[in-house]
Order: sequence, then structure tokens, then C-alpha cells
Amino acid sequence: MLMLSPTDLSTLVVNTPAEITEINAGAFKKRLQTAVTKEHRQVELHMGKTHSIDSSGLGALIFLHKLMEARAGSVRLMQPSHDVQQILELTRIAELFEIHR
Amino acid sequence: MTQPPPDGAIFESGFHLHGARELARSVRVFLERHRLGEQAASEWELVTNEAAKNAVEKRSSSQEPGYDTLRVMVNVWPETVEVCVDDHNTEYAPANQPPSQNDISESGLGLFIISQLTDSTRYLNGAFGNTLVMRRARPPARNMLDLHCGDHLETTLDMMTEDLGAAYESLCSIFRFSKEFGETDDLQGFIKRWLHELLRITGTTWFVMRRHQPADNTLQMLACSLDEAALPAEMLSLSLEEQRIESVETHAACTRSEVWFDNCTSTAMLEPLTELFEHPVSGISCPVDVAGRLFGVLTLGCAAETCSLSARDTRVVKMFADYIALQLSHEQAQQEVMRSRVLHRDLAIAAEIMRSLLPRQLPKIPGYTCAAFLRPAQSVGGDLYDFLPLDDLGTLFVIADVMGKGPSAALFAIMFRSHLHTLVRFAATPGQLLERLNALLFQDLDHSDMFVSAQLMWFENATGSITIASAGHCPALIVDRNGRQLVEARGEGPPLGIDVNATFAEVTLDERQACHILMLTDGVTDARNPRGEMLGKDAIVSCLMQFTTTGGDAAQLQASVLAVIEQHVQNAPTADDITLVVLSRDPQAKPLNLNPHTP
Repeated sequence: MLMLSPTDLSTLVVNTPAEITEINAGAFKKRLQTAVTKEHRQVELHMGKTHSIDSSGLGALIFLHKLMEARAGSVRLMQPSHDVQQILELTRIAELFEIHR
Repeated sequence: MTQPPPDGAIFESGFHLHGARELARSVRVFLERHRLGEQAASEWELVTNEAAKNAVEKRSSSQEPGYDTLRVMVNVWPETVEVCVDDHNTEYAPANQPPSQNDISESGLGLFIISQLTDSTRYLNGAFGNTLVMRRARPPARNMLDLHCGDHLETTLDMMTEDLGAAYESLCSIFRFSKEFGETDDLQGFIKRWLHELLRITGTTWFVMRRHQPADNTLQMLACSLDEAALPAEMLSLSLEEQRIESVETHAACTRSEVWFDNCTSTAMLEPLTELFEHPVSGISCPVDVAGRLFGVLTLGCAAETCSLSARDTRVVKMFADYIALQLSHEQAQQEVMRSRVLHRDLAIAAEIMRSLLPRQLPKIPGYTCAAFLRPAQSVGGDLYDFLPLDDLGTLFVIADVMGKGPSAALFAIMFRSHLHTLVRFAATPGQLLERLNALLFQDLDHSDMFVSAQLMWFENATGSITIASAGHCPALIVDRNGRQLVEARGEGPPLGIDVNATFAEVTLDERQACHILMLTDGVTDARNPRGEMLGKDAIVSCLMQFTTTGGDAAQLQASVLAVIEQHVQNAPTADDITLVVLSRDPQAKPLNLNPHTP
């Protein structure tokens, strides 16, 4: 479901699953919490394969944002799909992230 | 102006998060079929998912049993779309205002999404549940009325003509299907042939029909558009575990509702379809059931990203599923009739065996009369009686009750009788005979979790004394010549087949004490009247005591006891076998001269 790709020591690259919904959002958050270490200043979520996200999935993104903000870090959302991008904008969550299309 | 009636649909699923997803997807498919536009349909899917998810998450802990269905209703008017989500929650009501987004938090996003994507929301509270009603105007470009104007008119007419032609073809197929229905012996081939026809009608490319096996609660492959013989064994069977939804097929079976799937469906839900077909991509899985009884699941689809089944196609698929369910139900009923006939024949054979075990003649003992009666509760019972005269020494009276009914009880009755006749000359007393019978029968009875209760009474010709031994059997009732003294001769010991080392005590009575002897099975005392009350031993004892005052032979005593039973039971069904063995001293007979020195 969640694949972590190491790049440099300060950036954590995460491939997100096909869906981030109520069913797997809790597990997704837990995996993020475990994967992010003190050394990480940036997290890149590669969202190309994610076609569906709901409010629980958005909650997981906000959780990651707060986690990184507390460490003076940031989160980048890479290649979100049209549907996901639309939900991010609708809920104004897009404003929290650096989005690369 | 009054609004025209809407096009509507109600979708239901189990009260869980998977159900919420499925309902949201169903709403999307329904709205796309009503030409709402991909964008708007997608937004309604999101809104419905959030609302249904809320209903599941905030489900009341004091939920009334029976409210386990998540229900969504969608109505489409020319200018408006309405989606209603029911919950049965008595403790929860959504906030009127979504949380402020100035301080974005992880919670409350669902309500915010709903408020952003709908024009109005109302939460209606009812006595037995609540409904969240969400409305939104249709985008003008997709307005149905527009389709009937100007440039769209020709398109609409073309679509209607196409629909009409397809509907005619479907109807012809269904009529042919109906004609063949019920006339085939090759059910699997019949279903496979018609499902190929269904693919042609609906424009789908593959199907899987699985049959439900109640014995192990699995879905077994019945027919497939591929060659079933070439499929790996693990693809042929799906287990339906309670409350576990593994795939679209098992989900359809568990929820008894159709499940749509497409390229958005999780990989796990598509197993094992992805193993069977290279590109299962999209389709529908339908339960095949009759009156709530599951017979299987029919799944079909195509390689396109979104299954192009129209509402009409979906109705045809469901109609085929209903016909297949009827056919499977019909076949099952035929098999049950066959099984019933075989069982009936077995019972008739067993009844004949049991009848052949009974002695054809009553023993002839000077100065005494005998009678015996056996009425099985069903066609075959487990009771039997027997008389074994041994030269001029005396006669062994036997009454027994094999636990259970039917062929198995008959088989053990044969074994019991066979061993009894073999061993009778190798035991000195009834107690010894029971010990040897128990030793021989123990292994077979114990292995079958069965037992036999039995009572043996040895009547000695020379003295007129009787010796009784029992193996877990109800006591014999004995009165003396004057009807003054009643003896309940127990001769205790466990039933045969319980303890391999069991011993059996004996009771001996002389000629004066034993005038009328009544051996019986518990079916006599346990006989119930229409109110369910048992006859009891006291009624039989009272009858016996009264009989001694009037006098009579064994047949008359037996008739008196049977009259008491009939009077009590009336027209109530008989639950257990009724068996009696009676030995009565002839009142006119001279007392036996037991002491040669007495004049």
C-alpha cells in the first residue's frame, strides 16, 4: 500500500496508495508517523497512483503537514490526479502544501 | 408550478464503510446514466460517500437490532438532484454549520465537503431514524430538457431507437430462455449457454457464475466464459466467512445486493477476477437468490474502464440472475424429493426388519396367560420385545428400547436380538446374560454414541418364581394375587453400551408375589396429551391395582392399560414407541405346590 523510497537523508519520498479513505487512512497515518524521522526536513508524497481520497484521507495529509510544520519542515504533493487536486482545492487544503503537477 | 415526478433509485448495503463506498459508487453510476456529466456525478459520489460514512461512524451504540442496512435514495428532476442518506441514530445530529476553515483541522472535513458541493442540506429527525437530504441544481449544459431541443433532438431519437431495438432483442432472448427453463437435464451447460447469450445482449465480454454451497458456505464455480477445466483449483472456490467481505463476488453474496466495480476498485476486492481475466476492469456482481435464499453470484463485465451497462442492461442481467436462481432452486427441490423418497424406502425396509424381529407366537405357560403390544411412534422405532422358552425349564421375557429411530436403531435391534439368542444358553441368570450382552455390544454402541435399555425376566416353570434384571430400563410393575402389594422391580444396572464392565443386579419374587406382571417402555408413562402433560406411572399403577379387583387375563389387562393411554393421549401425536409385555396368572389355576410336604 505504501512504498518508501530513500533519496537523501533529509527528504522522505512516499508513494501513496490507490485510495486514501476511511478504510486505510489510519494505517497510512501510522506508517507516515513511523517513517518520518528527526533528520527529515521534507516529505514528498508521490500521488500519481491515487485516484480517490475522502475526508479521512485529507485528515491524514493535514496530520503530515502538522507533523512536518512542528519540525520546521514541509510537504510536497507530487502529480496529484485531477480529482484529488479538485478536492484539495475545494477544501482549501491545497493552500497548505507545495503542489507539483 | 408542480414538479414532475423524479427518476429515482434506492440503494442499500450493509452498515459498514465498504457499504458506504459501494453506495456512493452506485449513485455515481446512476447519475451518469441520467446524463448528469462526469464532473457532477463524481462530486455526488464524494458527497454521498461522506454522508454515508458519517452515518456509519456515528452509528448509535444503542442501535436497535434489525437496523443493519445502510440506505441511500437518489432522485433526479430535470433541474435538481437530491440524495438522501438514512441513519438510525438516536444520539447524533450533524452540526448545522461546518467548522471554520480558517483553522484547518483533521476533523469536520466531511461536513465541509458536503456543504461546499450541495446547494442545501436538511437533517430530518424521525422516530425510527433520520435522513440527511442534500440537494443541488443540475448543471444547465446537462439539463435533460436541453436534450429534447435543437441539435440534441436527432441524437435523442437515435438513442431511443437503439434502446428500443436492444430491448426487443432482450425480450426475444428472455422468451426463448423461459421456454427452455425447466426442461433441461444439463443445468451447467444450460446456464453457460444462456450467459453467453447475456454477454451478447449486454455487450459485456466475460462472466463468472458461482453456486452457493450451504454445507461449507462457499461459492463454487458453476460456469465461466473461460474453460472451467483449465482454471486453477484455487480459483474455483470462494469462502463466505461471516462478516468478512473479501471480493466483489463475496460482497454481493453477503450483502444480497449488486456490486459495481471499475478501475477505481481496490485490487483486493477484484480478487480472484484479476487472476481469471487479464483485464476485468469494470462490471457488476449480482446475487442469485430467491426469497432471500442465496443460490449463487453472477458476475459479468468488460475490459472498458467504466462498464457501459445501461439501466436496461442491468435489468436484463438481474432478470437472468432471477431465472438462474429459480432453475437452481428447482433442481435443489428435485434433489430433496429424491432424497426424501430414498429415505422413505429405507424406513419402510427398516420397519419390515423390526416387524420380523417380533415373536410370532405368545409363550404357552400352564396356569398363566401372556400378551404383548408394540406401536412405533414413526414408521420405525427402537422398541422390541421377545420370548425365549428354554426347554421345560422356563421362559425368558425380554423388552428393550434402542436409542433413536429409523434404520440405525433397527440395525442395533437386530444385533441385540441376534446376540441375545446366541448367549441365552450360556448364562445362568438374567443379570449374567445382560453382562455378556453388554460386553459384546459395547464397542459398536459406544462407537456410534448409542445405547440400549433392556429388561430380562426369567419365569421358572417349576416354582412360578420370577427373576428380573434391568439395564437402564423402567421398572416392571408387579402385583400379588390379592392386589394388595405392588412391587416395582428395578434390578438396576446402566443401559448397554455405557460401561463395558457394568454389572446388573437381580430381583427375585415368588409365585405368590407375582400375579400380574407388566413390563413396559418409557413411551407408556411418557405418553402426552394435547396439552403436553405426561401420563405418568401412577395412572398405570392405579389401572393395574383396579384390574386385580375385577380380575381377568393378560389380554384384558393389556386392553385396560391401552385404554388408559388412549384416554389420556386423545388425538395428540405419539412421540415415542409404546410397548407392553404382560404375564398374568390365571385366577382359576391352582397354586403351585412348592412344598411337597404340604398337603
